[in-house]
Amino acid sequence: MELQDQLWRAVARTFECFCFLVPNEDEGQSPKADYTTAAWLPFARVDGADSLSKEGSLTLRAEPELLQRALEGMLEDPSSVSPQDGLGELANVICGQVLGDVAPESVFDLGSPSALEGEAPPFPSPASSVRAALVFDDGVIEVGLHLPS
Amino acid sequence: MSLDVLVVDDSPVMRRMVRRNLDLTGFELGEVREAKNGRDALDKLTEASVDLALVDVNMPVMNGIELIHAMKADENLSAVPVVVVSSEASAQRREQFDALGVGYVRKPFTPEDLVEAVIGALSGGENGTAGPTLAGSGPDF
Repeated sequence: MELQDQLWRAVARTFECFCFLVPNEDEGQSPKADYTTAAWLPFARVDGADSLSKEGSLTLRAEPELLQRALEGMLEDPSSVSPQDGLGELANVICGQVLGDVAPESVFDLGSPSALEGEAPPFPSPASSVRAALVFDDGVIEVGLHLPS
Repeated sequence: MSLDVLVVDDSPVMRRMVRRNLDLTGFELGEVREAKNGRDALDKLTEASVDLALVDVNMPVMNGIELIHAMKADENLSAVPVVVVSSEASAQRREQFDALGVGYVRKPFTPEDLVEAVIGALSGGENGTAGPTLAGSGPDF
């Protein structure tokens, strides 16, 4: 399975399990590019004591209505949780899942997710980044992965 | 019987998530306590006993692996069933969990996944300890 498909599946499974949201089959909807919340999660790949850590990152951003629905699914009452914290946790789970799928023999140290404020923050996207966009009834979520080679 | 549970995770969002999923499992829950890292968990476990600990791996101060080692070394805590709740799934980690004799559920999980892991831990199937037993085979979905 290609990395992009693995990333898509990791996002879909996370939203289905934790938020009770299933992405639409129709992927024709374009992101509105008015994301208000995004999270960035750094990670390091540590394959053994003799090897150097290799750094990568995952970026996750969601349209506001979708994020609200997702948090309601996760927590029932998300009023005491900031959208940034909620999205950061989703980023953490997605990242751990896709890394475990693409490199099951490796150990990854996941960092703490950081909130990225403002409109459409750029992905930390070198040419090797992989992106996936998932369409839900309430909006689009976009995820970018830079995997250490 | 009701289950007293300790949820150990540095993320307050994830602690609430785990609690919500515990509610959805259908288990009869007693007191559900929370701890933000391994050290905090040991303090909470000293204050009051629990029937089950759900433990994240990556945490500051004291991580989940260190917590489990500390519990195994304490005769008062060594029999507490533990389920690791983590997004990590490397073969190395899984071997580590097996060696520690703890159950495991991978994030993201469904309430059904959580039920399976909890029943395994409580029945001693995963952790090799004789924890509390549940009436029947667990909640139906």
